[in-house]
Amino acid sequence: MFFKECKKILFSLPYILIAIILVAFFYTQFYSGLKEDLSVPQPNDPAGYGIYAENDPALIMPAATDSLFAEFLSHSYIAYPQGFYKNITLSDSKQAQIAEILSEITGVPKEDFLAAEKKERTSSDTAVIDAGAEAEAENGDRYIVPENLTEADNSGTLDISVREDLSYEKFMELMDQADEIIGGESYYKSTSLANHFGQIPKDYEQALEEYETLMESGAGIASARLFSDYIGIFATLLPIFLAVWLALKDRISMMSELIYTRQISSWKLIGVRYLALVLMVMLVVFVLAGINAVSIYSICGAIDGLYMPFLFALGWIMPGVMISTAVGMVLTVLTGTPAAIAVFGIWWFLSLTKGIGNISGNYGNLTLLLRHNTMQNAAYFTENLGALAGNRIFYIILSIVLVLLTVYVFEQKRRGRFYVSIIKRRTDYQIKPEE
Amino acid sequence: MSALLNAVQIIKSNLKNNLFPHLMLTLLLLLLTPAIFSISNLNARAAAGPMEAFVALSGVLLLTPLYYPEQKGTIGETVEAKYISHLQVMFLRFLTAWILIALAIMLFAGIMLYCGSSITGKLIFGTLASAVFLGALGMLAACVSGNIAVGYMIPVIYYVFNFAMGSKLGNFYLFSLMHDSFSEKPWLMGGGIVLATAAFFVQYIRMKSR
Amino acid sequence: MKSNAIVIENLNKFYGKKQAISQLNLTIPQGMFGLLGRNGAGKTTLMKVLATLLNKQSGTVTICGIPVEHTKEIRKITGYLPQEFSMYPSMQVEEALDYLGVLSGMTAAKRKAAIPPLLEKVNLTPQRKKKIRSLSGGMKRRLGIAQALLHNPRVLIVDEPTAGLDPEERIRFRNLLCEVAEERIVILSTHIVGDIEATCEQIAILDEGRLLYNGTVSGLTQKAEGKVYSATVPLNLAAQVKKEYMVTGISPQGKKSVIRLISEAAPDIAAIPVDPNVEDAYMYCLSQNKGGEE
Repeated sequence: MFFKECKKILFSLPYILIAIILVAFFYTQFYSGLKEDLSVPQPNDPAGYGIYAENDPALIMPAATDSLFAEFLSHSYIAYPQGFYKNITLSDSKQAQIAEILSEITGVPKEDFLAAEKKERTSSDTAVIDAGAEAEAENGDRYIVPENLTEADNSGTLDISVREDLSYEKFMELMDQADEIIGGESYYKSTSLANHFGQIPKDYEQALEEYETLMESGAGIASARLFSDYIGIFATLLPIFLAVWLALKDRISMMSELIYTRQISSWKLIGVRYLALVLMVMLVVFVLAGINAVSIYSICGAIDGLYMPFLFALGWIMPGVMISTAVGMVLTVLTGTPAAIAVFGIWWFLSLTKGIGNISGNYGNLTLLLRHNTMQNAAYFTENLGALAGNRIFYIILSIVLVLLTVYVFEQKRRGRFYVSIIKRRTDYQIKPEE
Repeated sequence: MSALLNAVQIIKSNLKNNLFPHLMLTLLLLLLTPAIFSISNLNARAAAGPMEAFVALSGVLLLTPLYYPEQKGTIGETVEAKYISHLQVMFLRFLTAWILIALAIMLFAGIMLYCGSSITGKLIFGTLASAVFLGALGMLAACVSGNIAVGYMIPVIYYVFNFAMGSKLGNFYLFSLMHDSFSEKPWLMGGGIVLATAAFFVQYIRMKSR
Repeated sequence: MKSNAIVIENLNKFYGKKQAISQLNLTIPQGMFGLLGRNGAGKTTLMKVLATLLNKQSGTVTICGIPVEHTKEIRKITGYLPQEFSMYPSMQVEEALDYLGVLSGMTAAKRKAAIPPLLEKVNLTPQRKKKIRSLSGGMKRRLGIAQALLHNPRVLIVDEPTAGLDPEERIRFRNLLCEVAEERIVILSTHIVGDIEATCEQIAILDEGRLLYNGTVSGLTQKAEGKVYSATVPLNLAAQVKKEYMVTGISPQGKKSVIRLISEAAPDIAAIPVDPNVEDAYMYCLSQNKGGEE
């Protein structure tokens, strides 16, 4: 029966689409960058070596202060709660608090800041260009406004250079306060400061060093992590459609009555279906893992850890596939509708956007989607391996619980003891035995 | 006259029985939006966030399941054998869904306006355009594949792709208003109408060539 | 006065490469007409062609003088009850009937007048506010026949209406159809011979898309006269008999079995000729088509 189910799934439209999407995503997002990520950097590379974020106080403190001041003047602060761009306008009392922070950083009295702000308010239109955002030039070209360029010119006589005796720790504390006042996820969150204001281009030596660290700690495992990050996103979302399709197929083709009266046990039916669904999706994932392993081999040769993509597919990606399939099955059997798509879709969406601040390393808080969007950051991985394992085990267990629930509900429905309508109204209705 | 009355009856009946659960889901979506996005005191660009990225999903919720009710059992056969062509019924259902989407968008826009956000006519139209495009995409996918799961899959994937590779989608980028660009919106609206028409056309061809 | 008959000439219908109906010539007069045949014989296909749900490849079909291509006109005068009838689950019975009435082009006044007596007729008045999803199979079927009759069609096309019903429901249904057939053409398709026997004057047998028989029930049984036998054999020989002959009935009686079988010539075992019933005649007819025994 297992093979019949697998065959049914293999030739189904949802499965074919899933396979196409996963493969397309793999090639366009991950595979294309793989060669570059794993190749030895060349000296004097005209393309440069990318940028990195350095926690350099000398760089960050002035830049961040400039930015905070500019936003303060314009009353408009950029933040990214839920990963979406948002423009925050602060109330007067909150603006005063920001002024206080600026005062502490620069040594300039708070009143001066407030006066400058007032002047700003009353002066005629000042174009405020949101730092870091996209803007359109006159000729229609799009460009990103560089972080460090702000309309600080209108500040007039205020000297906003950072106090000499201000420690970096204190500075970060103040920045965190500002972030809190703004409402979170602003540029000033201490953990994001380096990303926004401390970016400097890498040079050849640094790139080489990074490359060597990567090879030492295991290119295989690094690539596998990145692979799992990318593929995990869609591999967690897509199975819900497949599971809903399969569970609905019975109802739509009215097979449900036939299946209800057959001899086959509910355990077997649901269990085999679930296994078939998970395995068929993992089939695609494993093929992609294989392609990943082969590419690593072709770029780096026979290094240690070529099997890592497979291991990660199993341990990192599969629990995501499992939970998606389980939710799809249980909700569809329970309600007889495709509601599972909406429910899981929202869960997935929230996980994706909530984690958008930490995509280079985030395994915490039982998040649905684990992120590790970089070849580097091996340290985060080793430090948080426990959290990762815990997270994945949680989802495996949850999936199994949901499958058991599915069996229970299915069995009850078979016996005519359980009827749930679309608006979840329970009635003790006995379905008359049909002959 | 009786034709008009009958049309109204059809709309009423479809609203109550076939569109109602999806309408409830849409209202749930609207209720959920403030939990994820802030909706007060936003400028035009920030206001586009919740509208384009979330409220527009109402299109998927209301248009994609348009063909679903008749996919169960032999309901399709019963209604298709009737004097009034099922194509007409589908069209009325489609119009009803469209109106509901527009109402949902305007309701939410009104709430945002009340909360001090900047809502422009362009934003409302833009959101409607994104919604109709996504919904029509789902409608066509569901019609062609005869499969509601596929019907939902296609617009959802397209929506996600807009996050990852938005700029590459050119005139069919869903979140353009978040970057102060309106020119994509007429394309999306037009595209949505074309896709919906294609769905009706597929249905028509199917009925004629059985 | 328009002819009250369905005339089918040289009808061919293909599903892709598979031929579902092959060169069918048939005239269906007023009254109850039974369409008998195995699953996949083409009965449902024929019904759907008549109900304008399927297009034919070639041939002519006229219903009461109207060519079947004139879809709208045909749908005005035909009522269709598909196999396994169902409606939108959240609708109430009365609501569903009203909605289908709207789809049949009926005015509000006509619907209001027609629905209550119809519900009475199919014995669904107590269930009129119940939702479709909570109806039993028999009730759904009755609703199905009600919606097919609602606009007072001249032709009623009923596809396997009694499959899955308990005996009481089945009889009730048959009686209802007989009543209705008094001024109409009622085409009833089934693979349950008992239905035909009880109600139909004229029948046709389809097998693999072809017409095997068209005539009266008595005409059919006549054809099988002299070919049906009854043999009483020990239980252990019953299986062997089944292999060698076409058996239409076995009833165990103590240590023996009474077997009813069909044979062109007198069988080798001790058997007495008996009068054929409709079931025997039907099986005989099918076997003739196969050119041998099953």
